[in-house]
Amino acid sequence: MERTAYINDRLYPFEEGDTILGFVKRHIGKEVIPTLCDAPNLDPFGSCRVCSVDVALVKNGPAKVQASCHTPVIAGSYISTDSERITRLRRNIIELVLTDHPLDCLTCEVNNNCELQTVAAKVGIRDVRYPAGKNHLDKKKDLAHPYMTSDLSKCINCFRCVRACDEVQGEFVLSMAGRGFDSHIVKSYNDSFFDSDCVSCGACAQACPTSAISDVFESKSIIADKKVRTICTYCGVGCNLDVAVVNGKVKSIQAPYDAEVNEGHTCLKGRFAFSFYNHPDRLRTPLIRKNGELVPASWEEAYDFIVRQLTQIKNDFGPDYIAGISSARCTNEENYLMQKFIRAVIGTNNIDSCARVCHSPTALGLQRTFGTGAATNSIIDLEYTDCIMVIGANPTDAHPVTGAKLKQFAIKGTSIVIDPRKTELAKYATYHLQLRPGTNVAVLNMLLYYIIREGLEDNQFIASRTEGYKEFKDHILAMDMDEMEKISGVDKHLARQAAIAYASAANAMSFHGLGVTEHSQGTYTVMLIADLAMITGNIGKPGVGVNPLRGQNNVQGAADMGCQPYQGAGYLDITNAENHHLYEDFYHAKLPLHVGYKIPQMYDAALNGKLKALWLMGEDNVQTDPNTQHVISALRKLDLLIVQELFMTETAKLAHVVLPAASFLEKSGTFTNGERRIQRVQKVVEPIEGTKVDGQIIVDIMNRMGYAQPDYDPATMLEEISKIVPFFAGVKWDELGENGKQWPVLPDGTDTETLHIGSFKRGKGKFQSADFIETKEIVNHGKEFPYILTTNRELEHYNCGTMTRRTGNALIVTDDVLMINPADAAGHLIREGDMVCVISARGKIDVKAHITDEVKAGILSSTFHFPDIKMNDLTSDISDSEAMCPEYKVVAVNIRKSKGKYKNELNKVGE
Amino acid sequence: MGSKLLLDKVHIENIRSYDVYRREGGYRSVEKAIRSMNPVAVMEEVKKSGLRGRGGAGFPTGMKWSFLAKPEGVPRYLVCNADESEPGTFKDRYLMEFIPHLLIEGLIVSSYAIGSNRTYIYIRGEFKWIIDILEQAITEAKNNGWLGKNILGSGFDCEIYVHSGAGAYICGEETALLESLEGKRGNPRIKPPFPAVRGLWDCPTVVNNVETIAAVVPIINDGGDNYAKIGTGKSTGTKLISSCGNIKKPGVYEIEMSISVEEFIYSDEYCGGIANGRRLKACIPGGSSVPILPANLLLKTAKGDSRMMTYESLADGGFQSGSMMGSGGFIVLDEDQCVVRHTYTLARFYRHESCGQCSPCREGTGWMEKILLNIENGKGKMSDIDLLWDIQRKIEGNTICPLGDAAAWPVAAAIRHFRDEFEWHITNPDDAQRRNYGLANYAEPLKVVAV
Ligand SMILES: Cc1cc2nc3c(=O)[nH]c(=O)nc-3n(C[C@H](O)[C@H](O)[C@H](O)COP(=O)(O)O)c2cc1C
Ligand code: SF4
Ligand code: SF4
Ligand code: SF4
Ligand code: SF4
Ligand code: FES
Repeated sequence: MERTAYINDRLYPFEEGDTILGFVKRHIGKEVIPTLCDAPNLDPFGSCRVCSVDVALVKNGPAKVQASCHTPVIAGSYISTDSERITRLRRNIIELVLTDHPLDCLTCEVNNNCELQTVAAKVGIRDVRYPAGKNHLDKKKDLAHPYMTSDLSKCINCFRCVRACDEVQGEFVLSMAGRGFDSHIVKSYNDSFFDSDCVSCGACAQACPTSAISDVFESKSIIADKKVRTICTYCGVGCNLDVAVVNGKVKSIQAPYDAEVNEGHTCLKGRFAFSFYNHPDRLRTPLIRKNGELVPASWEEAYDFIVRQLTQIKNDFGPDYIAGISSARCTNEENYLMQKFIRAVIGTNNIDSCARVCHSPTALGLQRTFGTGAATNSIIDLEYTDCIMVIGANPTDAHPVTGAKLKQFAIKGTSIVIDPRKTELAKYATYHLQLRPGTNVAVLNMLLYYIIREGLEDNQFIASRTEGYKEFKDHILAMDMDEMEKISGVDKHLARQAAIAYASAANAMSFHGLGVTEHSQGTYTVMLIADLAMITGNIGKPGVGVNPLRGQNNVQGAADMGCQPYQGAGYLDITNAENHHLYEDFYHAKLPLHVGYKIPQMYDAALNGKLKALWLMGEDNVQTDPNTQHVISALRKLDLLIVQELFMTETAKLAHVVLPAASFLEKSGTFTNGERRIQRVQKVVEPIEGTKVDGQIIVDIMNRMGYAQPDYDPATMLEEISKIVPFFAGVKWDELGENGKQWPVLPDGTDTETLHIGSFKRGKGKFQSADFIETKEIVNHGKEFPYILTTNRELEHYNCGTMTRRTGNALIVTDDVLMINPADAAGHLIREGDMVCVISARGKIDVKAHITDEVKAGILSSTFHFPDIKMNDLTSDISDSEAMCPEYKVVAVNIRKSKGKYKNELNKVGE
Repeated sequence: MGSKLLLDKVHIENIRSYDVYRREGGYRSVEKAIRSMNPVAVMEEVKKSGLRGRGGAGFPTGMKWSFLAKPEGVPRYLVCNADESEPGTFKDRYLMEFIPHLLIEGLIVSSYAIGSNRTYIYIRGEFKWIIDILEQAITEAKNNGWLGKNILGSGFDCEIYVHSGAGAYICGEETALLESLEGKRGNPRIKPPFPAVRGLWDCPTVVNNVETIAAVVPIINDGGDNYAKIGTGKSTGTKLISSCGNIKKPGVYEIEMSISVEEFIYSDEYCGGIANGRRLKACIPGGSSVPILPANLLLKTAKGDSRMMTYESLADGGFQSGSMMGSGGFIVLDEDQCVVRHTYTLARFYRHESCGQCSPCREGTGWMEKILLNIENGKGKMSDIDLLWDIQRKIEGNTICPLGDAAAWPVAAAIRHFRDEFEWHITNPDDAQRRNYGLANYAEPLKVVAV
């Protein structure tokens, strides 16, 4: 039958699966049918019934009332959206709802943006015919949580919050208790958000059509001078944010429903943790070290000082005595400028970025196997995949919005989690391979072995798209699974089952995080993940691939822009003569042909007197780089340390010059998220007084050092970048639109969701084998320090917490904790909350114990969000053998109950 | 005496036990179906029988089974609805309590027809002792090879599980039942998708009433055609009626669907007439959800025909002058009963049992109860009757599940047929506190007026 139906007697085509509501919205308009329980990012629910319409099967025939939001369109039917009887019905329903709703609209925070109010006005409620009766108007407000609020007297029982918590976040915190008229929203078993399992994502508040659930920023209020769409700065998911501004200040943040990345969702960092931006602690003036102290200075003074010093060092020692560390927190344009400055103005390749400490092995490992060091697929592919494998990542905490999607998938579908901790995702996983930290290579080899043994390889893909398989296969088959089992602590039968699940899924998709890269064998691990994808043909189509979960918001971009010592903008090898000429011509400058220092090498060089000046943009290396004491001594040796920062960090305290920079809310540019999506960051508010945008600071210095560079402006910067970075060829600021573009962007502007369709960047995919090698940390110190400490992060905080500790998030998670298995705790007489002294070959720290079976016996895990903890006093300076990413994830330690300054507390506990 | 197909052996001593039940010919239908029929043939037999769902809606059972989606590799489920919580309905309880093996036998044959390897009985939690009886019967059936793996060497596996509800009438609605069975709050689901496509754990599912399933046993034993010979028109076979109220002999009766209402009320074989020498005022013929009928419209249809105990005849006249067979809960009111009070009692029940999802049902049931209580207490206004009418119109047909209709219909029918009694309550508030309105003119045939 033909797919057409009548709306108010006019014929329109409809699509398979259309609901009446969707059909009418598309053809007649959004506002035609009023709705209350329907929401853009939720499944139809059909409970409010105000969306009812009349449906007749023949013209002027008997009509049936149908809830349009969930009723499919019947071909040839006659839909009337506002017959007399329907309008009366709607009016009566709203009248009934209003009998149990406070009539204080004028003072309500969502006045004029309340769906109930809008619908009531639309259906024309004049007066309520019911006498005052039993109602819920006396319900108490819940104001205990730093962000979430509720005033359930305003609840209209539409279930949108419950569904948002279930369907969007997957947290299952909210539910409806009681029946009928007594139905009411509950939070876990409690009446307060604070005491519930709520992770403060705010999805329920955004979904609630009234102010029954809201947040302290009143983000649904219409009071705003303007709304600006920008990108979250807290992780590589790259959520779009709608920021409301009042009187030049950020008032609140909501998630746009049309954002392809986050579809109306965020985590609490993106939505609520913005108040750091005008915190009193923000640096507001440049500082120069005089007589050992940092004292305020003008920008001109600071610039003069820097230019003088850099010129002198360059003249006295040569350009290679100067280095720069760029920031994955900054925009693409700023990263591009930083490397351009170091290369073209200073004349050295000593440029690196904090991508070094997180995903450098991903870039390298994937370049060696596929030819491109980026995620092969997109997050949307979760809709097309049949199996997910998550390795060394805790996305529900570190990449919450993607994490929520992965969790939704794991609840329903086949999932494999490879992680030493029983992460939230692991709890839902079909297979959890709980390996000993540092043995990823052994476990992945087990999976490869069983795939080959079971004959589950995709021979056609291997033959047509790859090379090196024969040797690879022989190498794998020679391995001893019993030994791998012993090394990793993973039952080989379980590994076999997981291997079969991954290999037999029509489409399987892998995700990995820092638990893969921050190891001595990080790059090899990435290569094995790529091998797994190739051997099963899981590359080059939707729903498959190798997908790194990027830590910081712009890790991808920093690397793309050339912030590494061996590759320039666009990943061209700088030691290659052809590339060298290209760059020299483009920058109009003489460039060195030799590779520069990676970050760990910079510290060594400084200690050896080979590096005199270092420029740090937006990184707190003292806090975040491993082996703190080593880093501090290195930085202390420098003649010139320049730090561009928002706050007086531990690193800034060591600087000779501190430059107050602007936050992401105060500048424009682009970030590239973990799925290669270049998105527009737009200035929301002016930089607070005394600060400058990072990009402008670099431009200022470039000009002062004699290199003509126009003022920082994202559109012109992108134009320059598009001419040198091949995969940015078609990127134009004005054409990025609301949802950005995924690179490679062709000159005509078309972008790319899936990489390696048809062929790999490097032609054929290359199988690369790797044997497990025990990290030196365990080999050298394992006997003396029998526990393995690994690090993790909490949802509520970002990295070392410089920003999030200056927001309400600090009220939710107040300190770092050390996870310890009950057996280990018992062995050391450690109780929940006791202070524990953790000792490594480098140093010791005290941290509060949290006893949990999330970690196996012999394994400890700790966060590092609060400066008091000094976690990196413990970590080693061992790095990934290939990419030099530091091994944060394996530290040999010993533990005991704390004494010393905790003695008093201990005694108290003992009483 | 009419023939009995379900309760014919209920009075045999110890029929509850497996041995007696088997000795009396029990489980023959399983042997017959599994040994000599394929599942399609079983379904065809049920289609031929004309059996209609006994849970309330009266949907043809064979047709329901044939709608079941059968995607490869996806399990199918049969779920038996033993939630029986409708006021006035207690026939399933009787059957399960006294002849439990009949249900188990029917379930095995039906599971075979549908292809359900895991079959559930969802039973209301208050039936604790019946749960024990059923568990016992299942164990016996299993011990004797009627359940478990490879039944009668056919390769067909089947297990039956009893799942207890937790005291909510709404969990008898089939999709709320499925939610509850999945361990969730018993909220009805929106339809489509229907359970036949996405039911229990998103798999194709058939939900059938206890009596429906039990009726499959005689249908297979004696053949669908023979079953269809009993009864009239589209009301084939026998029906269990639980009758209560002001009658001499309340209880569960198995009737052939060819007797008249009058016979059912007055004959000694069934209710035995109105108790205590009173006169018949009104009756709810099919459980609390169906429209109440005044005596004159109960015994004769508006057209003047004698009203029969069949799906068609009970519904004759539509809601203007008819009612429904419903779940077979037959509630009789004599001249001393107050229709306002009675309607209020029902409204209170539905207010209490509404799950609360749909705004019309959640809010409307509360308001109907409140307004009815006011009228009953002598605090009503004349405009309240119209308001009541208006509310029930807003609920009916405008909700996710039929509980909304079930709450609306009794109120609508009470106003339609007994408006003068409501008005009397309002105009004579003091009188109404002291005495009942009485029989009034309901015993006389009323003119049918369109409302
Ligand atoms: C509120 C409500 C309660 C119901 N309770 C029952 C019940 O207790 N038992 C029952 O068999 N059907 C009940 N039903 C009907 C079921 O939804 C369903 O139609 C029935 O189980 C189908 O079985 P059948 O086709 O064998 O009649 C109820 C329906 C509603 C709307
Ligand atoms: S804020 Fe998020 S986690 Fe908390 S209750 Fe709302 S939806 Fe659930
Ligand atoms: S709190 Fe808001 S979203 Fe939740 S049910 Fe009530 S009105 Fe709907
Ligand atoms: S998931 Fe990441 S990008 Fe999205 S809001 Fe949270 S921190 Fe920001
Ligand atoms: S009609 Fe009533 S009982 Fe049925 S789903 Fe709606 S609110 Fe729940
Ligand atoms: S919007 Fe359709 S029922 Fe609420």
